[in-house]
Amino acid sequence: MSAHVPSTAATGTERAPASAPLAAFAGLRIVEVTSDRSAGALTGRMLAQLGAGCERIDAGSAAAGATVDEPPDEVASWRAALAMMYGAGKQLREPAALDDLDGLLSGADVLLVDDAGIRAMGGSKALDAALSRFPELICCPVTAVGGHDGAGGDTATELTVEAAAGVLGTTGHSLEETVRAGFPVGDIIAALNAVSGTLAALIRRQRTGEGTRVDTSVFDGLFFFLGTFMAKWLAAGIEPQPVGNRHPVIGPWNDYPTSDGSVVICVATDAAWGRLCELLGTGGEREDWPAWSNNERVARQDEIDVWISEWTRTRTSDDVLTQVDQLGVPCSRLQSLAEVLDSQQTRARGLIEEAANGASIARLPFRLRRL
Amino acid sequence: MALPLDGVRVVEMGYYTAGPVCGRYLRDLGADVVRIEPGDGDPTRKAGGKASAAWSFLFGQNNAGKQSISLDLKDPDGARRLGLLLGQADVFLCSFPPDVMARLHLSPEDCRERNEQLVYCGVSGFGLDAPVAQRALDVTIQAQAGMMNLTGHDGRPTKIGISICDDLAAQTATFGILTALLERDATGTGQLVDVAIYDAAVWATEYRWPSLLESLPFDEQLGNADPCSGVEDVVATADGRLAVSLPWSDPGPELSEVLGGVTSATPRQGLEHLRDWASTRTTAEAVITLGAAGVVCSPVNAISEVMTTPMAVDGELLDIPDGGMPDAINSPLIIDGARLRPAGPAPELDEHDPDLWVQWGAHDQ
Repeated sequence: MSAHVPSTAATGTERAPASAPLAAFAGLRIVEVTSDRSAGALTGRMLAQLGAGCERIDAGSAAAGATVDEPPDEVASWRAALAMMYGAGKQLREPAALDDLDGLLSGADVLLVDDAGIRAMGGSKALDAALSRFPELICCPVTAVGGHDGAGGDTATELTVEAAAGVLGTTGHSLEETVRAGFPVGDIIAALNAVSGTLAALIRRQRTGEGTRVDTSVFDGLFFFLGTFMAKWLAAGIEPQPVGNRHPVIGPWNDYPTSDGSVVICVATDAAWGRLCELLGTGGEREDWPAWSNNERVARQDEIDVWISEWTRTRTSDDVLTQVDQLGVPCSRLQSLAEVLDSQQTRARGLIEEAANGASIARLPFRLRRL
Repeated sequence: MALPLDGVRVVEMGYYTAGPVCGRYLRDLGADVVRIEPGDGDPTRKAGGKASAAWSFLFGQNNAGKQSISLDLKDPDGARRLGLLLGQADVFLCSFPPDVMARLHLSPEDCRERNEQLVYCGVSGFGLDAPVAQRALDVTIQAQAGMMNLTGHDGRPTKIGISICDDLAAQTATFGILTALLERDATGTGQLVDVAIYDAAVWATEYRWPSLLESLPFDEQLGNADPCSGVEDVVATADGRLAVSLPWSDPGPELSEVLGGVTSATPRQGLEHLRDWASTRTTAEAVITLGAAGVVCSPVNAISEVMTTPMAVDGELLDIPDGGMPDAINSPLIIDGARLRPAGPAPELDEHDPDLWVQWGAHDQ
């Protein structure tokens, strides 16, 4: 199976050339001991995209007594594609390399592990021992739920960590129908935290010559972003509920039906609210609506949503977006993934690149050039 | 403990989430971060009414430990004084739209003239050279980048509850700035980091891209399932809800024993049996029993419950003073065994004028 996302031929999507290696990362050596679709593996992929040399040991096959999962063919195809994507730019090494840990880590700048990697290396103490033998090493464990023995990898998946961390309970249209994110948001957040922690440690090493241990977890990363919801509980003892497609403390903010689909409209300021009121036309019983504060709008969003829906329902999405955008009010069409990857914006920004292993992968999420 | 970014100076201009949260990451890592605010302050400060305490917490969360200087950038003296700070800065982090920055004479080119060694990071909806020049907020990007169509139950696109696009953009900006600082040191030249919230959001959906080329049935909402991880769903218990993940391989005799000897021909059938079993147990009882059998599961926690989990408490993710509000959530990073904590609360408006100018040596020549 080929591990490509839509190619030029398949969808018209242009693919950017591979990210150019950066001078700062030339000669940097990463040793990665991870399973193949984890936050740790994604962290290593990002470092490889910057130009670091990344040697990966598959912690799944290195673990004693590892079980072999046998999913249906379509799932196996998906897993294989992801393994190619997350493995892009890495050199695969045999698990036997772990038998000579000093040899493996000699000359390494960064040791990157996940739960499976911690277990494969004999536990967290082995990481500290490695740091004591190689005092300039940067060691970054990226785990599911923290802890020191790597057991979290056996007792948690993305779904259960999203559930434990409150992300699942605050996403959805009602308490009975809460839902996870449609992609592994916890792994992605953890990987970005891990890569930043690692880069910050490299900056410190330039100055002090000292290595660093940088720990982070999927749970910790998700918890950090709960502020919007946590504020209600901490300030007023109100248990936050899932808010559907609304914002918990700003409004009106929702998806609205049009004659040919649906759009999202978000009013974030009093001025934007005033302009929207002018466009839709207030009068009669709505005469005082333009003066409503944000807090009043949030409290009465049911009424406001009915009003906005009456207006959008009789217009096409293009018509609604054109008129609302002219007000400077943020709005958007709900796009499918296929539409996204084939969009003008995605093409213009070159968000897909072809890796050396032939996989089409996401370009690093920022652009960098000389000022 | 010496923090990784000790001695790094950051000037930050931006409201709400994406830019300020990036500044918070940098501050927690040790950088000096000064916010530039207009005379009446960041609008986030001004929210009142019932939500004031909540807004106060959000402002504190995003800006803990930073310094504040108030400047009128439309006034020549305000612009001159900002120029003095930029001359002493390592990083300029701005999250106003590119056209606004250009009108303020704060484009990348303008700033290079003030400091050739500067790392300039612009965070915007669609990029500094965007073909799409429209205003954007978290949920419009969730819609436009396909996240909402990938999230939810059948046929009902759903916004992710947290402000995920802003959060990802903040993380991406942090990643980009740290990369740029290393590259600046390696090359001796200033760097431009261009962060588009849209790019960060599309990047995050990469996990689902293979479904398109392989024509796999995974390109829309999958509810609570991720087939790559196994057979998964949320099941109701007698007093709550439980997220359960079974492997595609045989869940084993332990699960069968939990289910009273019921064997399942397929993992999906096993999940249905487990659904029936859980409906008559409390969540706590189910977690203990299933955990002992090696079944991966977790309660679907409410926010108040999240804060009391062992991961949050033992992990020191939140310091709640007796009878008071915490200033902010602690960093998701642990450095050499110590949880990173903010250096202090969010600043009062203009709290660090005039001391900051002296600290930074930002004076007219």
